[in-house]
Amino acid sequence: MTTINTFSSQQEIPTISFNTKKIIAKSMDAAKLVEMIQSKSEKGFDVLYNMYCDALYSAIIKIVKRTDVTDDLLQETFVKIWKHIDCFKPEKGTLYTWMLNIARNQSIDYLRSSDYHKQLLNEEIDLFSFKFDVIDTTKNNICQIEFADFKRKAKQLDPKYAEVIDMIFFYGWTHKQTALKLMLPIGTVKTRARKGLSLLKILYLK
Amino acid sequence: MNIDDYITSGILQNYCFGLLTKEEERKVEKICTDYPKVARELQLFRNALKEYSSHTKILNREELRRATWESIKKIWEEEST
Repeated sequence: MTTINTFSSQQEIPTISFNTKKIIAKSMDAAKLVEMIQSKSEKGFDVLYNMYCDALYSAIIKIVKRTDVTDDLLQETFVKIWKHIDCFKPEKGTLYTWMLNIARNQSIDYLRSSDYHKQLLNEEIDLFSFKFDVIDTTKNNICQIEFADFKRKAKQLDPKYAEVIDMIFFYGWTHKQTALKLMLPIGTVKTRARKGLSLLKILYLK
Repeated sequence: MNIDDYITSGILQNYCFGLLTKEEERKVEKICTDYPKVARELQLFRNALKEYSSHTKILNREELRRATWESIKKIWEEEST
C-alpha cells in the first residue's frame, strides 16, 4: 500500500483556495441545473449542453469509436436526460455521473444492437471486395483530427493506466471485470487505476 | 485517523470511479466535510477525471446542439398530444 500513491504526498500543495463550502456550492449548482432542465427552456439546454457535451461525447466515442454514431448517440443521450430528469436522485450521485451513465448505457446498447452488427458485416464485405482504402476514406469512420487528439493525450498517460481508467470510468466496469478482460491480477488493476488517476491529477494540475 | 494515510490509501480514487458502496461513499463525504485537506484532494481527482474525459472536442458542436434541441422539443410535442 505504501508504494502505491506516493504522488500526492510528494506533491507541493498548490495555492488554490479550497474549502468544504465549495462542495456545498457545487451541489447547489447541480440543483440549479436540474431546475434548468425541468424548466424546459432553451437557455437551460444551452448551458447544460455547453458544459457537458465534450465530456459526454468523449465518453461515447471511447466506447463506439465512430464519429457518426457518436453524434447520434450524443443526441439521444441529451434527449434521455431531458426526458428522465425526474429520475435523477441527487442523494445517489452527482448529475455528471448520472449523465455519464446514460451516455455509457446508450453506447453499450448500441454495440449490442443489430445496427452495429450489420455495420461490421458491411465492412467485412468491403474488405472482401478489395477496397482496402475504404476505412480511411469514408467519412463514416473516425476522423483524423480526433485520432490525433487521442494520440497526443495517450502520450501523456501510459496506455497501461489509460486502458484501466477507461474501462472503469467510461465502461463502468468493476475492478474484477476489468481484471478478467485484461487478463491481469485484480491487484494490478486496482494499483493501476489508483496510480493512473494520481498521474492524471498531476498532468492536469500543470 | 492519519489524514495523509487516508489520502494515499486509494479510497478517494475509488470514490471517483464509483467503485464504493453507498455506505463507504457517505463515509468519504463525511470525512471531506471534517477535513478540508481531504476534500481538496478529492476535488483534484475529480477535476483530473473531468479534464481527461473532455479532451475530445466536438467538431460540429453548434449543428449538433441545434439538432439535439429540436429532438428534445419533438419529444415534448409528442407527449402533449
